[in-house]
Amino acid sequence: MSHYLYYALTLGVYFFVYCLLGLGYNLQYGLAGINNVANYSFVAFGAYLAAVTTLGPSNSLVQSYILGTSIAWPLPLLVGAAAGALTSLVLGFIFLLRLRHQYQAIVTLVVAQVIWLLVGNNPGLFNGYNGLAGVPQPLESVVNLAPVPYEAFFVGITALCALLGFAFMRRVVRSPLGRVLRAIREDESVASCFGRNVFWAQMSAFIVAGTMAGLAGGLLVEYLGAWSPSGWSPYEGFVVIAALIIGGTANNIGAALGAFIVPVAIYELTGFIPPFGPVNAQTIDAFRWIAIGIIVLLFLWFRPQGVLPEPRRRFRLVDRILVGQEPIPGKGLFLSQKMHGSDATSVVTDETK
Amino acid sequence: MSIFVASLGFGLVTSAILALAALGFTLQAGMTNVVNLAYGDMMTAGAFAALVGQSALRLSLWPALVFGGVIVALLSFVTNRLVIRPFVARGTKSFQMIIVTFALGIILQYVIVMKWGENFYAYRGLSLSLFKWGSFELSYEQLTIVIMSVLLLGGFHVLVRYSRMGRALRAMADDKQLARACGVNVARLTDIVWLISGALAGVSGVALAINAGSFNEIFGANFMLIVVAAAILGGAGEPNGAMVGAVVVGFAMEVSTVWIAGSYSEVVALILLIVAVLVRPQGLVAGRGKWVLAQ
Repeated sequence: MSHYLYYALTLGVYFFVYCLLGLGYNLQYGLAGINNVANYSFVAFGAYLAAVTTLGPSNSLVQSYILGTSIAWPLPLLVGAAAGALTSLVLGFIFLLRLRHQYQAIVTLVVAQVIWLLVGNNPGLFNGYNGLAGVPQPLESVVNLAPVPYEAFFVGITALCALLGFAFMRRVVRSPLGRVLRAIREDESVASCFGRNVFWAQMSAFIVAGTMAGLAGGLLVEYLGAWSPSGWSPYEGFVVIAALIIGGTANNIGAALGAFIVPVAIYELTGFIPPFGPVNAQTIDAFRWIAIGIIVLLFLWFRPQGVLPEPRRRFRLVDRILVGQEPIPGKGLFLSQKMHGSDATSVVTDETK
Repeated sequence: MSIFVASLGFGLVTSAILALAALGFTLQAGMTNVVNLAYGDMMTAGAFAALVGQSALRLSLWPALVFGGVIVALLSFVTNRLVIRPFVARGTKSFQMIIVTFALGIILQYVIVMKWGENFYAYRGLSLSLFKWGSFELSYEQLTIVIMSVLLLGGFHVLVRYSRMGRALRAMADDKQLARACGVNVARLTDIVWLISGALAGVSGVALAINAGSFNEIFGANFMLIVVAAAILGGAGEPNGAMVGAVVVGFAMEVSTVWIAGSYSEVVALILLIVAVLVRPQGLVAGRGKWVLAQ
């Protein structure tokens, strides 16, 4: 029985960590319209920094890394989050100043690959391709619990972080910054014509997303106890993108739903396929990825807005000023209907025939 | 000095393979405005198709290469008809198109894993003899790849420059609507572009596998960003630019190994790409003076 409970708690940890990742990605892609394909390098930096600040000084006989210290528990998480923020700030100058559309997407992918290669090829940095191992779990000796209750304790930590992230994102979406970001996503030049600083608005979204990714990385490494380049690749990032597309772009609850559907339901439940005949662990893993790919394609075709689409926003003041009447309850006005994010549904280009 | 000359030889081979691959990638990007992240996995598919040609059809090395090219040309054609074209026709946004091709690449890669697993394979019939000219030495396979690449690229250049279809292709790349108004069958040409670029992906995938000696399910995907670097450095959507970019990237990667570790040669290529995109986004050969991809 406790096996099942332990497994369910494991899924809980993944769910909340991916919630955090999905919320951050929702902010940068769903709201701000930043085409970042390689969201996982921020997770990696968060994880590495949280690991080296927990592990203590580097012992080059076992594994070598920089900045080895050992600080009290919640601090490594904060260091991880700060690492994500700092990485975002630096990379934001590359990604956000001039690059748009496909170029932006390609360069994010390329920069992530450069980081991956540099980390892997420099054993002095974070122990190269072998990665860091033996990261102790937080407060293990303090709370002193058996495995299952400790697992529950860890789920509690991740849930707390995810809830904080959720509350924060809820505020951001409704804030003036959220409005500016949505405006930039819909039409950048209109936003800048109205005096908004497009670069810094996107940059702030990018930094917040990086912070959340760094925090998620810190949680992941404290949970897994190890982190190496083989564990972070564009494919891991694709899981986050897939989760957001399926759950619902630009919808925070959709991001959480996607974190449940893709990394937990599809990824973990396919593990229950019993091995038979030609099916082994490798083919099940392959099948899992194929399933995620096909589901993403189906969603992009049949429901590109995701299970939970972006909530329609109505601006009473705009309706009153520009149309001269109050919106009809339940029906709204043409104008306020046009204001909500129209996302890849009806634009027909000349490619049709 | 001899290391330098030898690295020039490897640079020549890498450039030759890269030019074929980058030409296919840039054709797709320029003619259909799709950045195809599945391109690397299509190269892998070509390598495995050639493997099937060798084992099931008893083909020798070079016919197997042609077989790989043909199979991937068909695969690329079908992918375009079934997935890419419907999405483009619907006006899917550029980033979502990238996710579509990313998903296609993952599906393709793991279909290969299901059949062949995560193992390394090699072709039969690789000779180990070397062609030597001073300290410049290449295997006969590498030499054949270089000659084949030059012939294919030359043939493509003649096709685009002097044939009626080539004129239509150039017209389509410049202005799709105007081309259609002048009676160019854009849908048919798009099919042809996907056939050609698929064939180039397949052939370059097999050539890359021959050059590397062995290949696995991910080697094409690992090579893809270098292909993208060559294509964008030359000017996205510019066939001649892809060749120039391939030569620059290929030689930069191999010659850099004289001074820095070989594991960094990919970093060299990628940093070239980042600098190029930031400093000269229109590419080295900027034919039409506009961002073909930026829409």
